[in-house]
This record gives sequence, structure tokens and C-alpha cells, in this order.
Amino acid sequence: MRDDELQRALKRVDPPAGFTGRVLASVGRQEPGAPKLARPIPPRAKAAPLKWAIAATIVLATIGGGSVWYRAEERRKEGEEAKRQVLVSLSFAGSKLKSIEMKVNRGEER
Amino acid sequence: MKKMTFAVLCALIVPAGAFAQGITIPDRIEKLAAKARESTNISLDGPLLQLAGMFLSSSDKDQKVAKDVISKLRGIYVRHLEFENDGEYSEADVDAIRSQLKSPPWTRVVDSREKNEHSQIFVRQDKGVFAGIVILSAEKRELSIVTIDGPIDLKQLSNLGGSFGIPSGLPTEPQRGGSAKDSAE
Repeated sequence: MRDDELQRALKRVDPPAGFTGRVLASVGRQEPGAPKLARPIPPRAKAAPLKWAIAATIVLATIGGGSVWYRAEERRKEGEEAKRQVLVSLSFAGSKLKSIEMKVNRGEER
Repeated sequence: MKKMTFAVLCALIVPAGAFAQGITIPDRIEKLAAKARESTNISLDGPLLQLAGMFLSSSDKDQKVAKDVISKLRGIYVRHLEFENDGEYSEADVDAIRSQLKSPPWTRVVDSREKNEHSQIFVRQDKGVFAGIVILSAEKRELSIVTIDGPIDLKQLSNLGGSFGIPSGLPTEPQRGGSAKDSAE
């Protein structure tokens, strides 16, 4: 091949009209049997594990917090009940003591 | 003499006792609860007393006294039975408790009989230290057993009678309100 023939063969040629559009259209269309094109991972898919981790943390914190609150509430109820019983017991014992004291004093006066 | 003994007892402010040895409520007394019209059963042991102490206010005068009293105690046990009719319990039922209080370290300091009422106070001493009290009150239709395990100032305890908005004498007086009926059995 001569030099001038080679230059003609390698000469820059503008693409035919509509070439860019056809290429872009073919990218979006999967030919049957053609190898799948690797697609970039969408940003939402990248964030999914983080969201799950946050959700799990919130659920665990809620359960943990609820459990702590429940136990504290149970303890408070037990304490209030114990306090009530102490007050009733001491009041009752004191009343009995007073009553016996009065009986003894009455007996002394007779 | 009895009056003097009582006054001396009430004046005692005693340090913490060294042992805990309460009385056992006999089965026959527990069974009486089934036929009682009303039954009160309060059992407060050490941990419960500690817990109650945490909930007693230091700013309320009476509660502060109660807090101080229970801080030294190992237990408070109250059994109170009220019957519909006379003679629903026997002297033998009460004797089952008295028999546990006959020997040292228990000492009977008050024994008062009046018509159909028989009241007794027993105290326990350990190495000269006042370490517990049992109040037994047997009336026609009522039987009360109060056991306080640990050192207690009787004067202080007597002053607590009718405190905390609880009517004096409850639930032993005729005009009782019923708020002390904690755990009907």
C-alpha cells in the first residue's frame, strides 16, 4: 500500500447523523444472550446497611431502655408498697402499745 | 409496779442488737385466718425494710421517725385476725405462741387481763441489749400478734401509733377504717 492510500484510509471521518443517539439507545437495551453490563451501585443501595444498623440500634436501645424503665418502675412500686406496709405496721404496733399502756394505767388506778 | 416497768421500758433507747431470732407463727394460727372475717398479714424482712427506708421521706416528721426506727430493725411481722363471732379461736391457739416466749432470752414485761381481753408484751434481750419485742393481744373477736425483730425504742413506737394519717388504734378499735387490711387471706 502506498502512502497516499494509507492516508486516505486513516482520514478522520465524522460519524453519520444519529450515531450518538443509536449508541446510547443500544446501551440501555439488553440484547438477549449478550453479557450483562456492570451497572454502578445506586447511592440508595449503598446507604441501606447503614440504615438497617441505625434502625437495629434504635430498636435495641428502645427495648433496653424500656426494660430498664420497667424494672425501675417495678422497684418503685415494690418500694412504695413496702413503705405503706411499714407505716401501717408501725402505726398498728404503736396503737397496740398505747392501748396496752392505757389498760395497764387503768389497772394501776383501780 | 407495772406502770413503772412500762415507763422504764419506754425510756429505753437501745443500740443495735446482736441477733435475730423471731418467733414462728404456728400452723394453727395460719389456719385460723381461713375462718376469720378479716385477716391482715404483713411480713417485712430486712431487704424489704431497707427498700421501704429508701422511699420514706426525710422531710416528713413522722416518716423520718419511721425511717430511723426501721433502719435498726431486721423484721416486722404483723398478724391480725378479726372474727365474726366470739370464741372462734381458743386459748390453745394463743398458747402455741406463748410457749415460744416462755424461755430466755424472752421476758414477759406486761401481762394485762381485762374482761375478755388478754394483752402481753414480751421483750428479748441479748447480752443485756434489748433486741426485739412481741405484742400479743387476744380479745373476744380479735387476735393480734406483732413481732418486731431488732432494737426499738418503745416510747418512739408508741408515739407512732395513729400517725401517717392512719386512725389511732386501727384496726383494733370499733371505729376502724380498714386501711390496714393489707393482705386478706
